[in-house]
Amino acid sequence: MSTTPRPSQSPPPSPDTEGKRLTGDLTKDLTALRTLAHNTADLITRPITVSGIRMSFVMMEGMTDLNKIGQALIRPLTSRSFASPEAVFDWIEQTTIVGDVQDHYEYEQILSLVMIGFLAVLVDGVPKAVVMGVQGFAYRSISAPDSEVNERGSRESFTEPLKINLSMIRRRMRSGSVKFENIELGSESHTLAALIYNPDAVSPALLIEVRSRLRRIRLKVVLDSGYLQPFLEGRHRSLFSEVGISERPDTVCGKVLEGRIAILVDGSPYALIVPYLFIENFQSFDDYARRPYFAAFIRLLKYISFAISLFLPGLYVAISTFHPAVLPHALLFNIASAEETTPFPLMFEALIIHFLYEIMREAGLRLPRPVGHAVSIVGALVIGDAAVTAGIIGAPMVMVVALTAISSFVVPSLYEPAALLRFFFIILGGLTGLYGLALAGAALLVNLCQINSLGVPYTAPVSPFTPGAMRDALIRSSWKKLSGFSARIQDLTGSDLEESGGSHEGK
Amino acid sequence: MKRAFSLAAVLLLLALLLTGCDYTLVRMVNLQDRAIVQGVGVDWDGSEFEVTMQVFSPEGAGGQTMVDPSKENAQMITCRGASIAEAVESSARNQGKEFYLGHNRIVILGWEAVQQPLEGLLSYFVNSLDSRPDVTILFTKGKARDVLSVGITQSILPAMSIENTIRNAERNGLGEEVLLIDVLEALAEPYRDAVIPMIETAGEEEAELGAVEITGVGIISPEGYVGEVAAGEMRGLLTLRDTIRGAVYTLHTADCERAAVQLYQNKTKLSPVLRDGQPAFVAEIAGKWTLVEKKMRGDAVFTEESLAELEEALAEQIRGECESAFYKTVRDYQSDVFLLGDLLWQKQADYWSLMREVWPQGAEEISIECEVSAEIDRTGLQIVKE
Amino acid sequence: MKESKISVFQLVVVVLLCRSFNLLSADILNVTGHYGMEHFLAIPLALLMQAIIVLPAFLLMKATGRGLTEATSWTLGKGGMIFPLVSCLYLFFASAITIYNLAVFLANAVYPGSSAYFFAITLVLAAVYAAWLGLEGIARSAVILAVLFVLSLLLTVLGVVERVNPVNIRPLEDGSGWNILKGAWTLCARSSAIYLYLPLSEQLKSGRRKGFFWYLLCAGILMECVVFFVSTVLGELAVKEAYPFFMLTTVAQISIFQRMDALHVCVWVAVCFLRVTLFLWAMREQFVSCLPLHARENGRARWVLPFFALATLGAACGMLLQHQTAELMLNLLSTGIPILLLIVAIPLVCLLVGWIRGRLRKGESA
Repeated sequence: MSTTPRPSQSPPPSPDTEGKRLTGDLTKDLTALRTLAHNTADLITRPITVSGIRMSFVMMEGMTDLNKIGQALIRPLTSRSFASPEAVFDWIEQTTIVGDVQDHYEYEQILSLVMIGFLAVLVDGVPKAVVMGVQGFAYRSISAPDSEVNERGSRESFTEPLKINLSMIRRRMRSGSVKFENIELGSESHTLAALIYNPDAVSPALLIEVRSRLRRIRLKVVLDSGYLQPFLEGRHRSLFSEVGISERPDTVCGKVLEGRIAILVDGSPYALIVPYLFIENFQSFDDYARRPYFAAFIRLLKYISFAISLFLPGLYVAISTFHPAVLPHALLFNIASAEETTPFPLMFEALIIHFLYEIMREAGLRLPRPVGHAVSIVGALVIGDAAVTAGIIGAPMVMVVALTAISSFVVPSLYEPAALLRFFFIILGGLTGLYGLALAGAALLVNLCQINSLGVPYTAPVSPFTPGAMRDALIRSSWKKLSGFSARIQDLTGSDLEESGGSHEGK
Repeated sequence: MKRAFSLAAVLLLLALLLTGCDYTLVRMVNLQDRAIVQGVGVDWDGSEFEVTMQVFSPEGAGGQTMVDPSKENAQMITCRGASIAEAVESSARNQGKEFYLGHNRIVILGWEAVQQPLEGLLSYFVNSLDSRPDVTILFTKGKARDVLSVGITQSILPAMSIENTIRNAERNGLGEEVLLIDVLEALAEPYRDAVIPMIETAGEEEAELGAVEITGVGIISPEGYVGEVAAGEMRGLLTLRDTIRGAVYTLHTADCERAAVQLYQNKTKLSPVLRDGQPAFVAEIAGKWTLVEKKMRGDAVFTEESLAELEEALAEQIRGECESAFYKTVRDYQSDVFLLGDLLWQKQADYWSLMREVWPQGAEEISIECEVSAEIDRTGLQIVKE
Repeated sequence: MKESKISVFQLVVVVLLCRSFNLLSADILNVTGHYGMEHFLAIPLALLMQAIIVLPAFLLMKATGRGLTEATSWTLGKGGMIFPLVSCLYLFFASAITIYNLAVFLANAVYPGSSAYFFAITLVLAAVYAAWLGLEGIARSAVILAVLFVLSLLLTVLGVVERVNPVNIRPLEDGSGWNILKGAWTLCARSSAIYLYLPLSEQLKSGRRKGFFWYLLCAGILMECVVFFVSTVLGELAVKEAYPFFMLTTVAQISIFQRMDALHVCVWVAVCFLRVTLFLWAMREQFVSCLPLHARENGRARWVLPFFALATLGAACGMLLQHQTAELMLNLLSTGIPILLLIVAIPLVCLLVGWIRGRLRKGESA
């Protein structure tokens, strides 16, 4: 991990950097830069001469804003005269109207900045370069979030460039409440990332721990924030992730103000948020825009939907096979009639149909859009009608899989663990009945409860119980009540984190 | 090491569960292999039991999953054996499914069967893990098989119709739904007796609507059938047992040629008292009634006074029925179906310690005083003049 | 920053849940021969007895400022190992009986024709996994399970409330006094939960006595409620039933929801799982405290848990093979000798020896 030095404060040259520094000879320096970049075809060196002084612009093709370079640099340069190469250099460094201007001595530093869209200006006779932020690469425009859809509230989601994402957060938090800390990840990719936190709210212990875990990452390439996830998680073996993700800047702002740390990675539109609690899977931004009673209802609906998506198929198989007495008479008769002619036991029926559903869901994700709608037609025909008419599965099973599928999309962040566990529970239910489900459910509960997400109990504030925080857990209280409770993550009962806020810079 | 251990544990478990070894780990019966029993009839022919089971056998309405309630959807299976369990087991000779009693709704005891000690008769249903303790118990003076075989098409299955019939009878004060657990609870104490409703196949003229009829209740002691309480004393019996949910009385007074009142709420409290060293029981019966129908004599107008007369007549009728039912069961049958022994134990423990061994045989001299409060507080949409 | 791994509230809940598993078994519940006034009165008397017999243990903890296990080694030195070793033995038999009870219950009442050994094996496997995860996970999940347990109880109560008949409560008779006393002692002697409370409370820095008081109160209320409904709904029938509370759940009916007993059994399986998990965890902790430091540090202690799990499973399977063994064990526990030894005798000896050796603190509270 390295930190970009602040402009105009480049470290003085030292004997250690001999051979890695600019010589002042423009030709040699350009050759060295090309060699370091393995003569890549997209490295452009544009020589110009101003007042008889040779200089060169070094940039990556397609990464810089040529208009800005022309207006801010070339036009004023060519309209002036300079006495010496140093004068040219000083003028460029101090007068050019661009955002970020730095000077560097080392080839590697210059090249790493050029690779992310900076323009390097080398002047013959000056053994340092001016590097300025004139990025102008093409990127996806800000669009509505795909995975965190909402009815009310902002429709902005993160995009790939880190700077754009940081600016979206800054636009929402126009005070010192949010601090960005740049880091570089990936020994080959040199991917830029940023820690985002509230210096007054974050626990110093949390900050130290997160920095430490990121420092231990030994990856060559970091192309997405998902690469960092396993390194941020603890040693607990669980299907549930301790790291949250979000593509919404407003969500990130809200989380950061609660003392959490968000991590944005250049090239990824998803921010990572730590620590992350289980109940956060059921929270959405819309909850805070709606009336409290409706938000509470929707929140409860989500919990019920998750339980349905996880347990319904297994419960159906277990009850129908081992405990039919639980079912009301009429329902049992319908199920018995439906199953009378099917060739498979209920457990195999459930496994087959859920497996088919997963195949179709994955196919629907990967198929090109023009062909994608065919999947829904095939799916409806295959599962909905043909399988029942052919007597392969019973109609009640179709109801079960439909309800399970719909319920699983109510809480999309838990889809992965729910999908796997569902199969496990179907097998258990089919082989051991409700006993197996109960035992596995209890063991799963203990597994969930023992997770500490960076020192905070994963099942907080439900267990360990924090009364104040429950206002936004199972239900959502009104804003008047919510505003009365200090919602810092380290204040939750059972938290290992220091209660005080403050970043304690340098620790 | 941890991974190896976990993998070994999972593989062992899966191997145990999936390889279908000879020993049964968790016994599983697929739904297709279950014969869902809805009604059981037990008859005794002197040497062996004849068990009739009404089993769900769907007759779809064209779709694969629809159950057509207009069809019988039932299959009758009769089997014989020295015990009920043996009879059920012998059915494996002529049908291919395993009986499932978890949804059994009714058990009908035939005349010969109900003469036997009930605990032994019902022990199969008590000990069977599938069988539910809230199954309705009935008995008949004929063959249980005949009652069970009646083709009622009011519900999905005839057994459901029979169950609904007894429930309807209870709602209207014409019977009492007695569950297996009620019978067991009653027979758990040697001095208590149980009541079981009596059911018969209806006459031909009623064959279209419902071909069974609740005709009274039977008094059953631990040794077997004792006697019956017919329709006339039925309401009194139910009132004293505090199980009456509704009833319609038709009254005649000086003003009203005919008036019908319907019970909507009743509470009966029995208390033992000692009078001259002899126990007596005071029954406080408080009922609330609705006037549903009336025909006045001549030009008579329905007034508050008429209402009071009706209440008095009603109270008198209830008193008479209760006393009649009490003396029939306690004195004639020497049975305790009103938990009199328990009440004595709680309130008159000294007397009880003397009577406990012989109760209810020693109860012939016990009397009852009925304090009836019949309040007709709902008179419908017509006004009552003052 | 949290002070201890678990809180007083979690401790009370987890021990209460462990105690509540006994509701399934009539043998444990029916201690006076009948479900009546004698039983109603035996319960508060049993709680009073429990409050009295734990006094030496609390006194020892207060006098030494340490947890019970540590206090015994602090006062007796190397001889203090006897306490954790005897504890392990007691927990071993208590967990074996618990596993046996559940296996027999499931094989007899829920899954006819199934192998009881299968239930024992799977329960122990799951419990070992949960015990390995640690006390925090167990305690936190106990709170959530407790909510489900209370819901299950409420549903059962609502389903049978119409059938409540107070006349079924058997009144007091001559000789009831002796029955009450005997029943109270049996309840007290069989209560492994009071022993479980003490080593678990070592995780707390404060509030042990207050927590124990709350545990007794809640346990008393729970038991009185259960006995009330069993008595008033089933009457003397309950005495003939192997699992009267289970029978209550089969009778409970709310609207179209009948025979929800299978779902209630799910909750009880989870409660039993928690109980066995705690026993295994406590066994491991007690045994490891006897090991020398280097054995704990070089990783050999990680075999203690699987070893105890296997041993417990073996004992439970032995009981399934020979049911008389379970009877013998239960009778031994019912005498009260193990509890008296662990909770009364050893702490008293420790207090005496500690006073002689000057190991008791003055004026400081535990």
